[in-house]
Amino acid sequence: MRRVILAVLALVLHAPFAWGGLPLDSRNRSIEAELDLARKKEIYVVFDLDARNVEIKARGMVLKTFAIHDVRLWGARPAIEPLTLKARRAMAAPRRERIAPEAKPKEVEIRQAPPSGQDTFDIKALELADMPEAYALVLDKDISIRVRPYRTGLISSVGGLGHSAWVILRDSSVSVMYALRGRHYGTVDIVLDPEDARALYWAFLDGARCLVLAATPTESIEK
Amino acid sequence: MDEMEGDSVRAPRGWQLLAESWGMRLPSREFLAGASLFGAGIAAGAIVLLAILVGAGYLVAKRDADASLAASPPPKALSQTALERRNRALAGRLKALAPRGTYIVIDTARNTLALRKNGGTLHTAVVSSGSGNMLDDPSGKRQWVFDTPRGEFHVIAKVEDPDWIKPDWAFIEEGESPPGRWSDRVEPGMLGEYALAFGDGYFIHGTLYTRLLGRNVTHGCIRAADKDLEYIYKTAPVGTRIYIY
Repeated sequence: MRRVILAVLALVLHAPFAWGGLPLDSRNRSIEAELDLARKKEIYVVFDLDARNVEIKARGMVLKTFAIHDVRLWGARPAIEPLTLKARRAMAAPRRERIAPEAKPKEVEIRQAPPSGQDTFDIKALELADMPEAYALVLDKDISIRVRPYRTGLISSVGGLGHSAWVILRDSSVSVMYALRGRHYGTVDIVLDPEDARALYWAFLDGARCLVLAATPTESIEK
Repeated sequence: MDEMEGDSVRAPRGWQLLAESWGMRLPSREFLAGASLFGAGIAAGAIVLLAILVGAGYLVAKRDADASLAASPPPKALSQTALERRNRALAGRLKALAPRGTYIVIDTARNTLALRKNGGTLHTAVVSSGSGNMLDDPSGKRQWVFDTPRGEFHVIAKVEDPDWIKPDWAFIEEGESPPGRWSDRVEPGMLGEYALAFGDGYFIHGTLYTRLLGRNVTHGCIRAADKDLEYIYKTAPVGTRIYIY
């Protein structure tokens, strides 16, 4: 009975979006789309769901790569075209500190090494550690990418099953709501290492553009 | 075992005494059965509704996926050879956009700088980048956000032994009013031995606060240690592209 339940869950979680690899024609279209981004002086992100990579790029060069542990597509497939990040949504979004003007200590006090190697400076700044690990990237064209951190362990596995069940229920509800409004809903779920998830949140700013490359199961190459 | 008359269930003596001490009567067997059936019915109904919702959502998602695939352009009617030729041409055009020669890549999240050339890395350094903090002008007319800008830039100018010309925010941050005389803004020795300007008042420069390298502590500029800065200064000519993310 347990095996039957697990099999049904596996089918629901992964079907009907089977992978097949990005065909040559789609790869050509993806390069054409990327040329549009690479011609500008901007940093852009490529979510290559087929290769299981997220790449931060500029001028066609890869500046940084994050490995994707797991991918899940739901609903409308993102088209191979540049998309713009409209907003990043996180439960605990980082907040900037406001500097309170005050007289600084003398230079000589700052340059002296503190005793026993301890850092006595209280640094109030936005740093990588302040970035969230789980968040949603809301793109235009009603596409969103949800990022979750990769966790191991029994508790994480059990929690992951619960999360998957919740995600299915949520996505089903949202799909139905969008359908009632005559719109299409699509979302991509990716799992990254916690550090990479934070780094992606840091690097992918509102207004930046991206490409989402996903294999389409029905395409084939005409020989 | 004592038996209670009427509607009360037969209960062990201990529970009976406990219930009596609280002034309660244990519910009847019929009541418990009815309550259980009601609860089961509610649960079953909820499960059925959820199953219908998930099923409907699944079908809608499938429809949305099919619609998006149908909306995508049809594959070009080209032979495999032609597709591969086009692929090579497109890849060549993309590769041609990459910088030639030396270029600098700065990761402001991890505070690292890499000096690269022809796909290889010449030098890496730990640096400091913008703190992301905000400062308000007491007059209320200006606000500064101390971020390091992101994107593509290039080295506009290179300076040896630069003097720091303190901007208004540097005085306001210390609770002082910006001076009227330009000479009161000049602070020599604060920026190290070299500085590379990349526009809008931002520099890659040296620092007195080497212990803070690797942290996000600056007002937007990139601070590097003396030896790293010297290497960068002597290797990267004016016009060198800088990529900051």
